[in-house]
Amino acid sequence: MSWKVEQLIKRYEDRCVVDQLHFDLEQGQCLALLGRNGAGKSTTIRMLTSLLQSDQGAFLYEGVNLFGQTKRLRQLVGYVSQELALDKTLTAVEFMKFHAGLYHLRWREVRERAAQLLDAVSLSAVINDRIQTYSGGMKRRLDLAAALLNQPKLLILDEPTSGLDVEGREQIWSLVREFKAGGGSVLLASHDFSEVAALADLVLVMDDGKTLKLGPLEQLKAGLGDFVAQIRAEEIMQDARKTEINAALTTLDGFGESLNMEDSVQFTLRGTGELDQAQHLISDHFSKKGISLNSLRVQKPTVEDVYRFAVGGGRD
Amino acid sequence: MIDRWLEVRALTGRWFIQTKRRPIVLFSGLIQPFVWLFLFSAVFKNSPLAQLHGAASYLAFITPGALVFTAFSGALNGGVPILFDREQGFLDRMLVAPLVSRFSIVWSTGIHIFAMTVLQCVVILVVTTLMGVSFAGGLSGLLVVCLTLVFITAIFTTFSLMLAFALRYHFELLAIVMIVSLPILFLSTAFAPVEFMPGWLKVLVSLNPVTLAVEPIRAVSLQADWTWQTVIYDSPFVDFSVAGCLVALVVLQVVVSLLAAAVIKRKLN
Repeated sequence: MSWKVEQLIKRYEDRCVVDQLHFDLEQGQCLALLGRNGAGKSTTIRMLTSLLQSDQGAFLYEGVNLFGQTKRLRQLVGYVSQELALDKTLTAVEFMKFHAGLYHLRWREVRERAAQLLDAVSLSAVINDRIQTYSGGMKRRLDLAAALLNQPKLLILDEPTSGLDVEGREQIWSLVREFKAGGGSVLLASHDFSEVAALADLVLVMDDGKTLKLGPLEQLKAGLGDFVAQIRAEEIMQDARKTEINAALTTLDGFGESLNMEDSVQFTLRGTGELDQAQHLISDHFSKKGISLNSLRVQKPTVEDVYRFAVGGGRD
Repeated sequence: MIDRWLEVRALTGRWFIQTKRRPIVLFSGLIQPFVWLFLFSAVFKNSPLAQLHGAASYLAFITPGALVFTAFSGALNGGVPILFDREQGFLDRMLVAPLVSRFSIVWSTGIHIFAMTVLQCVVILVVTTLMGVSFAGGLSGLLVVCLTLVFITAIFTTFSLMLAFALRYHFELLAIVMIVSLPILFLSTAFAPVEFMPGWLKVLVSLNPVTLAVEPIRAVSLQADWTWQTVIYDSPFVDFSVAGCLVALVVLQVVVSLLAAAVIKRKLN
């Protein structure tokens, strides 16, 4: 087992903001932390990057608790924060050089690697331009390149593609995939479900500091059922309508669980055959009950469904 | 040891690149003491020379004050960049790195402030010399000037860095700098001899570290026959010699350092 977080606890006065967090992460795997704002993701990241001391718990790499060896922890963990923590007066080369110094790397020994990383994030043409002239995407790519300079074993990414366009996101994802392929592990905090779907092998859903769901993404999706169906309203769905739909669902074959959203009712289905069969089954069932469905969507479970059913509703 | 050197070099190098890229900051730091020098020289042009401790002109009298004030104000603002780094999340970047000592962040800031102070003071000395201000104290007098400037810079750099780690936002530190700097300056002998002041003010002036820095520099600048034991300032509490002023500054530095170390250590860990 490469990485292990055991019974991690952080309290602020009487409030437990991270409550007995526990997960394992193998080499080459990416674990996505999902949760509302204030769920405890940032506090967890701050503890795992040594920016904050935990009240209890261990953070193990190959069996050694890194909370007792913070320098080793800082050597092994690369961190890309949500804020663009760059000195905009520097150029990309100067920034990489600065970063090398912080990690005790001699510039002449890492110069080539720095150039390769800057090339991989498509910044080769602007390495001598000041960072203040870069776009948001360029800054994010530089931030990631710097985090990879000292070849960390674990990369902690907090909303790494926030505010990026499609191409920018793809470039970041590609670098992260490359890092994983090279045996690196990734801890990703994101609100972007497409990012989680693209990168994560494991998902941990948090709320109020507690773990609601933890496991391989495919397993969590399969755990929801074969399909997730959604009955939508034009705008806000009235409570009476939701009650009517939920009452009808109790007698639907293969029905698992339902979730009331502001504008829809979602529910899971298992053992209903193929997608079109499931659609027919639902339509026929509601038709027999005398309930008209003006918007029905049935699809395979997604990471968003895993999240929504875990937290029991919308997200902020 | 090499690791520590690499990290301090990287951290310090960043401050110097910033200074190079923001020449207006360096320029204003160089211009400010001359504004003070010329304004005060004009205002106090007709001061009775007999009360100016043997100075040939008011400009010669306030040059030590301008040197100390330059060092003092540069040092007092030294913590501001640290607060900017914290507000922008850049401090976290440094704190997640495997630094041999997180105090390297503090050292790098101190080194940069010292370098800037040396540059400013050299410019002041060169310009005032060209304007006819002479230095009477010889080589050992120059040593006193250097030591005094080192101590006063260290005291206020340490104080400012302590505030930078104790406060949350740069505007809080800037407000303190604004509130503190002018009273400290005018409650000192930087621009006027203590004989000009009423009795109650003399007490406050004696407790001011800027006074303890200005007086030895002024003594060695104006008196060719100065000695380490020469009494240069008779405060209401004790008569200070050149050596006494330096010792007082060292004691103050030790006290401020201990206080700052406790605050910074708590914040960094």
